[in-house]
Amino acid sequence: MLSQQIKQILGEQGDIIELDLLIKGTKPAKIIAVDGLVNLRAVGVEVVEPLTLHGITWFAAQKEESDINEIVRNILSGDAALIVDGEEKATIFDSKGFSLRGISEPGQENVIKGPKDSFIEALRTNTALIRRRLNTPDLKFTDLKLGKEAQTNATVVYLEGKAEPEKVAEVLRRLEKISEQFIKSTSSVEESLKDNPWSIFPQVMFTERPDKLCANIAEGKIGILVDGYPIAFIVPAVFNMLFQSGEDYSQNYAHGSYVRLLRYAGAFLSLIIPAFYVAITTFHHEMLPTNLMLSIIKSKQAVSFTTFLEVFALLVAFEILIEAGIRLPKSIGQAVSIIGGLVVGDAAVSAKLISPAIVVVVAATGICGFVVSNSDLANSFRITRILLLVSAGFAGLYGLSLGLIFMLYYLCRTTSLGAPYMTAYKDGDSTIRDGLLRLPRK
Amino acid sequence: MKQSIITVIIVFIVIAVMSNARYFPRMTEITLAEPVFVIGIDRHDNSARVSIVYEKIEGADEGDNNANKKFVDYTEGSSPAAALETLKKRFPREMAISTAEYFLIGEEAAGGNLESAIDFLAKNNTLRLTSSVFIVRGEAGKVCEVLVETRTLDILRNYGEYSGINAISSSMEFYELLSESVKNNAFTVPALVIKEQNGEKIVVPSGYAVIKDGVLVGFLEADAARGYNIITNKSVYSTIELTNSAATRLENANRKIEFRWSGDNLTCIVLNINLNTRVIDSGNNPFFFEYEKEQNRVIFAEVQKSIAASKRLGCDFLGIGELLRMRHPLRWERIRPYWSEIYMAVPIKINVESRLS
Repeated sequence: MLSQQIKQILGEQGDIIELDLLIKGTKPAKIIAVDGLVNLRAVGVEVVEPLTLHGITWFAAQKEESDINEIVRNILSGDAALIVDGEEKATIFDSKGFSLRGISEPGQENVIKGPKDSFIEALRTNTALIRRRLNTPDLKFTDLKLGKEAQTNATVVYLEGKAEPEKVAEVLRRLEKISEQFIKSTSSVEESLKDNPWSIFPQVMFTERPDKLCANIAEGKIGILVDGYPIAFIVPAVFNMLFQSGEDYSQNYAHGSYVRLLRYAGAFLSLIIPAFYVAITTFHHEMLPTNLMLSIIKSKQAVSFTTFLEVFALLVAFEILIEAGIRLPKSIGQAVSIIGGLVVGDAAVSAKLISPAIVVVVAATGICGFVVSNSDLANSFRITRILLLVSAGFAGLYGLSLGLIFMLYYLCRTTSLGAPYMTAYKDGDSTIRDGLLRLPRK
Repeated sequence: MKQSIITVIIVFIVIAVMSNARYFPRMTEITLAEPVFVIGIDRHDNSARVSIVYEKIEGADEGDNNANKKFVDYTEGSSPAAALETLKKRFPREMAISTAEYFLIGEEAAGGNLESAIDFLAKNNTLRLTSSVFIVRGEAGKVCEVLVETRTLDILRNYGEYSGINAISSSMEFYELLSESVKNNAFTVPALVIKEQNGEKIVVPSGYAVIKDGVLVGFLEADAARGYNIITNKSVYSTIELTNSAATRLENANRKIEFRWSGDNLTCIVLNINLNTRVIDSGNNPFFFEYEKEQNRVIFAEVQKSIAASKRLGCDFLGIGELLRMRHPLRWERIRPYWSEIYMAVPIKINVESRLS
């Protein structure tokens, strides 16, 4: 019997519910569901009661399924399966009732003049948020399952007619190729979507905001939502997208442009400040005004380490402080970071382990780095600045220039789903309109 | 990735070859550098002397009396480069000559061959092109000693950046000296001299040194320097001292040069100068219109002195030939080979008018 087979596959488990009933008082049937995942009240009122009394059910979302593996997956997803004795198919009722957190404000992408809702862990709720904003028949959701063993529900969302069909097909192909047993983290999905998984620069963007996803879909991009993750992935993600923020578009274009330029400037400074400092203090003293040079020499008098080592060590210490601040509980994390930074920094300067100028350099670097709105890009810059520091440490400004040239070359070679990474800067108009600046829409 | 690295290496080699780079920049920890403020170049017979003013770094932390104190050191050699190398070897630390903000060239060094001093400075590719240059009446080394003894090194900055305040000199940066030495065969360089005042030696601006064909030929005194500044459109902001304890402030001056021709012959050069002045000290004379006449006379005399100096030294450092070239290029081409003789002979009329407010 089908129900016996299902019981064999599931085994004896404490949270599997089996409910025996008689359809219209005569025909035996069984309902199998998972306690905690299923909405038992809905099942009772809309399935069991009408079946028992009238032989029919008026549950809205139901389907017939004969594949036993599919039936088991549905049960484990939170659906209830009705198996009538003697029949080789089951009726699946979409009666999920597991606890979910409510739609709340985004954690990282807050804006002042914009919607305050964000994605949650439930896939259907997320798709509904998108459907509400883009209520057009061209909006398409293609469902698929990820992972070989635990098939996690996912959906690819795009606008038909805007998104290129080849790119949509390519996204589906890459997602279906995920060979992991189950989706452990977002990187499982992200790395499958990247053209070059070894690249340190992000080729997939993620967002917590439905409005941002809808804006990108409306431009022809493709969104990917995964059940259990309160974010959406967007591809192709090119370089200028990583500098955009929702706030830019909700403000006056002048302020939006100004803030965007600040981001570019901050990102560039965070990359080169440490390397530039090492280059001019170690190789190119002639660039320093004489009095500044004297001031730096005097402050560094008793410090035993070379400038390069000082900067490198302090940058690493800064990274450790950031990581520690993330792991600590929110209530004490910030206080510990500030006090740790202040006290440790002050003690290190007093002990002549580092010079005060280096503290200023690294602090300025850190502050400039926080200006970058996309955390993946900010993380890439944290690695890149160390590489530029090393190249400057070897060959001064020459090495720094070489490093920057190589970085630019690398960025130009990078693609995201086939789209060149630097495509926004391909001509003057696109560079100014939505690349470097945010000009008013035509 | 491999292809990217190979491409970058090829690009690097191409850049290195095309830029004629033979070596990487040299690494020197900044704490090992001893900054130099002034480089002075002198010449005695066949030997060159290089003087430097530097600041001692050791002992600065412990509140040593030598903190912030400048020192002079010098050495001689067959050439400025050889002298500098000897000096570098004597230093316990790395001598950071790239930080030198002032170059002083002694009278003998400039009189012998200014080009060799410029060459020495230019060949050292770490020296700043924006450093101020002065020619010293006397020895550059002595000026360095006076500056250090009297702790008045900063005064050079005033003579450089703020010299326009008294219009008795102006500033010249090293790249300007390089440019002038290439473009013009006659030009001026701000000059310094050591004077005694109240029993103390001080370094003061002393007009300009006149260079012709790469050699120092003479000086334009301080009392003619303002006239030179007016003719060459440099800063003229200064005080005009009049009789009866009066004084006026010269705020700016417009000069117009006219060339009068008879056919292709230059018969006369007319210099029309308009001054904007205002009274700063009325003195004993209540009649302001007399001030205008008097200040016109003062400026007339100064301009005349500078023109006379240019004729006496036999070179057109006032730039009149250059103006002529710009205004009358065809005529200039015809008279260019004879310009030096023409300039000596042609009369220059000066008209000065002023507006007193």
